[in-house]
Amino acid sequence: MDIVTIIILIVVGLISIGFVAYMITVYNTIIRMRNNIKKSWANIDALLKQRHDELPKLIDSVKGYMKYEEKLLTKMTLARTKFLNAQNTQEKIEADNMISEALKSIFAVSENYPDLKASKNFIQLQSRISELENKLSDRREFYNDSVNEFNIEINQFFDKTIAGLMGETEKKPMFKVSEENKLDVEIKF
Amino acid sequence: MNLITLDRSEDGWGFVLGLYGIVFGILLFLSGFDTLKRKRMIESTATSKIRSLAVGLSEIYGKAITKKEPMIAPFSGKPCVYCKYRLEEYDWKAKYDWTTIKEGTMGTEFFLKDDTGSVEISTKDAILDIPEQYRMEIGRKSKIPKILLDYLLENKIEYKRIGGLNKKFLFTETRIEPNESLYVLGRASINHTVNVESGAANLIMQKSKSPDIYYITNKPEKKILKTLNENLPIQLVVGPLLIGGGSLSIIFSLGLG
Repeated sequence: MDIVTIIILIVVGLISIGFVAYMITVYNTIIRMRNNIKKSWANIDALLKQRHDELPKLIDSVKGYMKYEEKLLTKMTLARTKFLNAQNTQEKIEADNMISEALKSIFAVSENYPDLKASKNFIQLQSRISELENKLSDRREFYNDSVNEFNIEINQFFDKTIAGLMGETEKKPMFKVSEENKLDVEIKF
Repeated sequence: MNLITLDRSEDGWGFVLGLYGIVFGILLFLSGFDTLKRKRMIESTATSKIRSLAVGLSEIYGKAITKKEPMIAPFSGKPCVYCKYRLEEYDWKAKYDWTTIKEGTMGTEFFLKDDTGSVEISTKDAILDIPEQYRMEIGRKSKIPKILLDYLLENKIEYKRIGGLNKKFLFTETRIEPNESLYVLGRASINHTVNVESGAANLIMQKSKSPDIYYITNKPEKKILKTLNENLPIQLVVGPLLIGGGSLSIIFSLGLG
């Protein structure tokens, strides 16, 4: 084998190494994205737990004032129980949607109770829960972005082949707002 | 094998060019792996809102704001939240090359703000992909701008040569201006020094050890990826071709081919 042939083989070998490196980075990227989705869900879970812990204080603070809103308070208690008993991600998402809807209703109806609105305790709780809701909204958006990027990655040309070998062929579901949550809260006077 | 002498000048050039080709080709090829890693990291990380930033590898986008009062960059006189500057002198005596006589950074920590909140950014160990904004070469007969003259005098740097002519200086500056849009990819860690009243998240962005990345730039994400996508095939394909071409050049210059 002459020297020129050896050099050509070295060049081809180096380009092949580059190609293999690319395949390895595709594999590592899919692993990273999969773990990013798990992490972003865990971060949502942490905030849901914090919100969940605030709910009993909220229910206690409004119970005395909102005597005629028993139905609403019961809905909140049921939603909280559903969250406690949730066995998987889908059930937690459903419970989260129920809690968000119930919270929206409580804060809207509280407008009818000036004494409650003026209560320091209620104001603090409302502020804390609003802050948590804002963070939750951001983290749901982040979760959906992470899922979207993963779904694009496993369907792109060439990367799809590596994803298929790793068993990643199914798109992951995103956080979706329930039809009920899209409706405006009806306030009855 | 006898020791082969390069007695023809074109053989000499062939050998030197071949050596440059191999060295440059190796550097280009290896840099391709770094480009590939950075590209994949940027593509696989979703952008976080600062308000809900979580500890770990994060990608954020916002405007730079100072921790305290805005600083003034030493050479351009423009306000900045971060500035890296260097003063070089042309070394007539020995090397006939530029020698750094003074360099430094200002504002190694600042805040990044988006529409949800702000977070502290440390520039320590960061890859700062920000183009140089100021470059001024002062020749022997040039008039030195007042701001640069003041800098030389304040720092007791001798700027005149024997005969009254100026020394040859090169002033360069890279800065981040207040409200400049920045992209940051790094690790969000707990910040024990933040003033909670400032409204900033109790986190600080710094270098991530695993994965090993900390990247700050004033380019938008799409432009960053476009540049990396353009560079990658050049690095991973042209690099090996240069190595091959350089090797062939050396072989023919040595008369072995």
